[in-house]
Amino acid sequence: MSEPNCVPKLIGGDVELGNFIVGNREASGKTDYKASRLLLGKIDGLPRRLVPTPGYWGNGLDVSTGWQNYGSDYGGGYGLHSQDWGRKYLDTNGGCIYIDLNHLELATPEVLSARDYQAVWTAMLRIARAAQVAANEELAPDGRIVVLANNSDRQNNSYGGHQSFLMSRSAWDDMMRQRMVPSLFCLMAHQVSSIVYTGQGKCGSENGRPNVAFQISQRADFIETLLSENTTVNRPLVNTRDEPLCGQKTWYGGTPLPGDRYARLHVIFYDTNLAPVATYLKVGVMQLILTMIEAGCIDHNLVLENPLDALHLWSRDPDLNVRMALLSGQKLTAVELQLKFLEQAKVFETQGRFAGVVADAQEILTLWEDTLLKLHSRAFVSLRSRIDWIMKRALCEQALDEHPDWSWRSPELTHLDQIYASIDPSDGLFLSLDAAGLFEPVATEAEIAHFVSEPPVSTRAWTRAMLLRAAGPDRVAHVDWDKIELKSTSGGYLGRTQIRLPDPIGATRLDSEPIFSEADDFSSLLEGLRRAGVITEPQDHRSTGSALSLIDSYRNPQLNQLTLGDSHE
Amino acid sequence: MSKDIKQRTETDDIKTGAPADDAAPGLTDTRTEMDRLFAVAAKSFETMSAGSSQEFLKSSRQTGGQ
Repeated sequence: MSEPNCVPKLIGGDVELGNFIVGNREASGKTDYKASRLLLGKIDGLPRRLVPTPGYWGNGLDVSTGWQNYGSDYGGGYGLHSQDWGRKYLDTNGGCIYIDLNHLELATPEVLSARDYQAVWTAMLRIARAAQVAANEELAPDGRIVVLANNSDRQNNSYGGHQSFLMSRSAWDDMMRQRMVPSLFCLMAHQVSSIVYTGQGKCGSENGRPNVAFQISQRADFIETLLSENTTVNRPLVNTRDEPLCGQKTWYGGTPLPGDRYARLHVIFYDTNLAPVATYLKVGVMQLILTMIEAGCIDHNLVLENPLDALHLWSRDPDLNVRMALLSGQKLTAVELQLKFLEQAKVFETQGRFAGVVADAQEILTLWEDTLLKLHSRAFVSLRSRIDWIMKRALCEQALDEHPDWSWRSPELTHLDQIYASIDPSDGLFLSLDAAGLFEPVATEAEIAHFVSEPPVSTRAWTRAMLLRAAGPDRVAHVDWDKIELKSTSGGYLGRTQIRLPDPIGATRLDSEPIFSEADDFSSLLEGLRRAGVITEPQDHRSTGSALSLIDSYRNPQLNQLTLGDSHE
Repeated sequence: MSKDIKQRTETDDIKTGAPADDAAPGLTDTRTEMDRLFAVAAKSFETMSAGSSQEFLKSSRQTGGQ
């Protein structure tokens, strides 16, 4: 029996990369503008144009829906520091790639499981790597583009690796707008204490924080407040951006639409991970915690007295000894607090309450518990293969042993710290170590390779990718997560056809594949998808089919056991 | 539970509640693994000098993002 107030914990990621050019003697100042655009130029996506479109403005109003629009393509596309520029959707896996503030940004397609997230994140890095190879061929001999999957340049500039999680609208409103305490502060306590397995680690400090040799989290120095809509300044522990990307809301009553039922928790807190287990636990454990919050079953005692102090002190405590106070007065280390969350999650699982909401919940719990117990025992050597910051710390300590003239503040250590995250196997330390078999895998090579060229089957990403393939570059005018606009026959703005994909767990392969197979041409394909309710028109307020029918049994057998549709219809 | 996760969590004999010595018997660490790890890292160390690292860091300055 699934939880009545819970929705499947769909996951997406939008991750900014560090990008710059080395070896160009003529370059002066920053090179991220040029590097990011050279990289994006080698990405094959839709729509195929590189000029802003009148009518769509990032961080403004999307005139077609009335929704605040942070995500439309080419919005704010002018100037050197443009936000959300040149967005290209991939007809391969259904994700997209664009430029945000001079960083190439990789946005994964929507997935339902932590395992799929780890696979598709790795696949997106491979797509970026292919673009890097092609761009460097073009750039040579005038330097070489370096691409880093990390979160700061060690010069006080941070860039984010964000994840989004589907939540019920009622739970999101309860947490963010109505009661807030305790669920919001339990979420903060979870996030802050989870850096023990989600940190990528870094040498030194930034952003005016006190100096330190090595710290666990790259983002901690840049998290300055508890709660905010901001993402670029005064960054919060919990981001309040309310942008469901699930189409329209109901205007005058009537049958609730996906835009009424769903919300999206936009998590800007975490470090970018390369270690497969760290990536898996980061999103998988968050799925579990959010489900317990939605169900109203989180222990209200697990609230930190000062979450920001805890974050900054725990990040500077790689030996995991510092205890911080809860509101109850109890003092715990970060690992001890995580063990408290684990204990609750195990009880929840025993009652079968993750069923239909979190795929592979038992596997997540098993790996989470094993990792926490090893952290509790300070079994750091056995955790190098799972946790980025532990591996990086070991590498740095080894470097210091071999080079007595180096210190934690030496440029060589900072360099080493940075190239851990290089996506070029010729210098990327993570990639070298991974190739040597020194990281525990989660997804298989076949699963990763699949997501380089194919979309997830259990979300709307499948239909998005297939529609883009079927439409082709000549027809596609605009794409967003919940819609595709097709050009009018005249080529003008008026008369465009808008296809809506409002339900993120709808329009799966199971729903759409028979229609794609039977359609004779593109028009009959669209008509078939409309008739089946897989896609909707802008004025058509019908919701898509029930969630239960949309779960794919092949990749998510656990989800298929449940009465999932009851949970949110 | 998948076979790989089950195996990896059963092979380590972890005692809970007290800090452990990394070299304690029963943990997954082996000299061979450490040697492989540092052999990979040493390749990077060899290419580094204060000058080259400073040049790299000078080039790597980024615009603040989200």
